[in-house]
Parts: sequence; structure tokens; C-alpha cells
Amino acid sequence: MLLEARNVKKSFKNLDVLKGIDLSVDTGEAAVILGPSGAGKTTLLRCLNFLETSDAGELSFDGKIYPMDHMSRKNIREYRLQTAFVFQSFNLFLNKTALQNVTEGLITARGIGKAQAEETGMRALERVGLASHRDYYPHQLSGGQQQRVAIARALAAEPKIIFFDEPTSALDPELTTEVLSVMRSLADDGMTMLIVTHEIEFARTVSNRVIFMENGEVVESGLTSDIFSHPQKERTAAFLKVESKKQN
Amino acid sequence: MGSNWLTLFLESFPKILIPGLTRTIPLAAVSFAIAMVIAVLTAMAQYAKIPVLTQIIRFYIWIFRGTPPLVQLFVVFYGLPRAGILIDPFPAAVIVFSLNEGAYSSEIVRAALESVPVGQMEAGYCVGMTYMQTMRRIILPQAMRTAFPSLSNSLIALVKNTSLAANITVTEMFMTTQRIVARTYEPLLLYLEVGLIYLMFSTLLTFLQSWGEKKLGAYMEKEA
Repeated sequence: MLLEARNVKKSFKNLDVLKGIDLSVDTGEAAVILGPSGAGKTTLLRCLNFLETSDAGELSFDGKIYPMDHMSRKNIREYRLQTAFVFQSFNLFLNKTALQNVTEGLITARGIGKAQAEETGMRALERVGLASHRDYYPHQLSGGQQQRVAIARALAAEPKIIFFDEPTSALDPELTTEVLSVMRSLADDGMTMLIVTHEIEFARTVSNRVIFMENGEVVESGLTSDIFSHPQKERTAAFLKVESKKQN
Repeated sequence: MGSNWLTLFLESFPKILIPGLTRTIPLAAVSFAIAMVIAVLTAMAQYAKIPVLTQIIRFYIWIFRGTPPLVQLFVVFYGLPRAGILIDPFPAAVIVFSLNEGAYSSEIVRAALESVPVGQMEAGYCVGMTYMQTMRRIILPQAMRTAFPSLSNSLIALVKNTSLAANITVTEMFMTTQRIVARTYEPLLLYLEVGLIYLMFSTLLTFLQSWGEKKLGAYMEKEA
């Protein structure tokens, strides 16, 4: 397993948002976290990249073990240099062009030379079909284009895993398609991804593994084909049925 | 009478303008530069909520925003010698205007930092940057763009407020004008004249402000 989290717990004030989550993602896998709103999916993903500090939990990543509730700054940084995160609201650097968004981390965080970073950056922009938009600022791009630049920014660092936090939820339906098709092609190339999404059809056709969450707990997880064809838990079956109907 | 006024106006113009260029402008420029350093550092410390330091900064801002700059000038120039600290007029004015302007600008910069979306910092972390790297490359440039118009206003106000330094014997524009008035007994003409020169300075700064806003704002301008 590339990433294995055990017993992740998180509460805000008196509200237990995560009640001891176990989860694993293998190299080359596209894993999807499904579940109703308020299940704790986004919080889980943020805990997995230390944007939130968990109250408990252990993370094993690429052979190294990290204590999730008391990570040193150095460990967090070492871990983040091997991962990437795509946000629901894109969070492109507003004062940087598309290309600068992609190269910023390479140059500033990784100390790569500008010329080489730009070469890598352009390849990443090409990968998401936006090479021609290299000099556009975020406000000059549509939501779908912004999210594709954000994916290019994630790709450029050659991470071992990319976390996606509802990457299409802030987009109009017609812009959702372009982002999903980029993600689909990443999956085809064997990029390891952990995706929180509401796109059931995308989950069914693209992912290898499904983790179904509700009320801060994993209700059921397994191979996508198994979960979709014969879910073991009634709750999972009901959720998939309702959500599939909604999107058809 | 009319031609006398014109002659006096033309004769005194360079006499007032020159201390404007050698005293007023340098006083404002140096004070403002120091004030900006104070403002950015104190705003960043407050933004990061560094304990103790934040309280000290709040206290500093409270004092300097809550007392008149004229009183501050008198304390530093006429008061401190009683405690054995003697400071020349010009440096005394620089100290007061830097600290005074720094206190106001600190609040402007802090508000601007807080207006930058939280997601910008998170995105910085997620591409592997440290807090300080993200601050320097992403957050601060956006905040300074937001703060720019307010800070420009402060600079214009500061240029005008340097006239207070006349009270502690800095021979800047206003004091020079007072001296010419004492000699010629033409207060109306001469005070209007010095006002006109302040107006020229302010107008020039206003132009610089809109030029700077355009230049800084490339990434914020809405497309046509």
C-alpha cells in the first residue's frame, strides 16, 4: 500500500467529525470517497494532508510512519513534497499567471531552476490542454480552466498521490465534463489519486476502489465493481441508488 | 500693488520650493519608508497572532494613534532632553513620523493580509512551500495590492503633516514661509503660495498613485 491511514479521529468542539477512519490507497489506484454531505469526507482529506490536525491517527506513507496527531513541521513538509492537493475552489495563486501557478512550487519549494521549472510547467499545462493559456491570470480563466491549471500545478511536482477535494462541485455542469475527462486520463495513466466526489458515474467508471462514508465512519469499502454490483450494506445500496438516479 | 505681489510671489517661490525639496520631501520619504517596514513587520506578527509580541504591538498602536503627532514631536524634541536624550530636529521628526505613520499603516496592512482568502495559504502549503515562503510570494503581494490605495493616501497626508515639524525647528517649507512672512508682512500671499506648493506635491503623488495601481493591478483588472 502506498498510503494507509488508521484510526483517524477529528472533532470540532463537541462534534465528532471523524470517528476512527481506516483507509488505504495502493499505488496506481484511483480511490473515491463517497457519502452524503456532512459525512466528514472533506475533513478526512484535509487531515490526510495536514491542513487539519487530527486528534488521533497513524499514517503510513511510502514505507514511512507518521503520527497524525503530532507531526513535526519538518515531517509535514517532507510529506507534502510527495503529495498534491486539488481544492474545490481551485485556490490558484491570484497574483500569478497559469504558468507561474504551476512553477511556483517547483522554484520556491523545491529549488528547481526557472528554465527547467518552466519546461516542466509547460508540459503539465499541455497535459491539461491549456498550454496556450500560460500567461492568463486566474480571473481571466473559466472555472473549468482554473481547475485544470490547478491539476497541472498538482501534476508538475510529480507527486506520489494527488488528493482531490470535490474538484467539480464549484463548477457549472458544462464545465464539469472537461475537468472529469482530465482526471479520467490521469487515472488511465496510472496516477494514484484519492478523490472526494459526488459524481457517481465518474466513480463507477473511473475508480478502482470506493470508500463509502457516513457520519464520520467508513460504512463500507472495497473494489468499485464489487461495491456497485453488490454492496454489502443497505445504506450503501440506498445511497448509490438515489445518487445514480439524481444524475441520470 | 499687483505687480509687487507678482514680484514677491516669483521671488519667494524658489525660496519656499527648495526647502520643500531638501527638507519636506526627504522627511516624508524617509519616514514613510521606515513606517512601511514597521507596518509590514508588525502586521505580519499580528496576522500570525504571535503571543506577547501582538500585545506589545497593540500597545504601540494604541499610543501612537491615540495621541496627536504634535504632542509626540514635543515629547521627543523638547521632552526627551530632560531624560538626557538629545536628538537633532530632523532625526526627531523622522522618528515621530515613522512611528506615527507605522502605527496607522500597520492596521491597513493587517486588514489587507486578513482579506486574502485562506485558500491561498493552504495552496502554498500544498505545493510544499513554508509559511514564510507563501507569505512572501503569495499573501504579501496580494495584500500590498489591496492596501496600496490606502497607503498612498497616508503618504499624501504625511507630506502635508510634515509642516508640523516647523514647531520643532526643522526648517522645512512651512517654517521657511513663516520666516519670509515675518520679513515681508504678506501672510495672505505667502501662505497661499506654500499651500499651492503642497498642492503640487499632493497632485503629483495622486498621479503616481494611479500609475502604481495600474501597474500593480494587472492580475486584478477585469477583462473588457
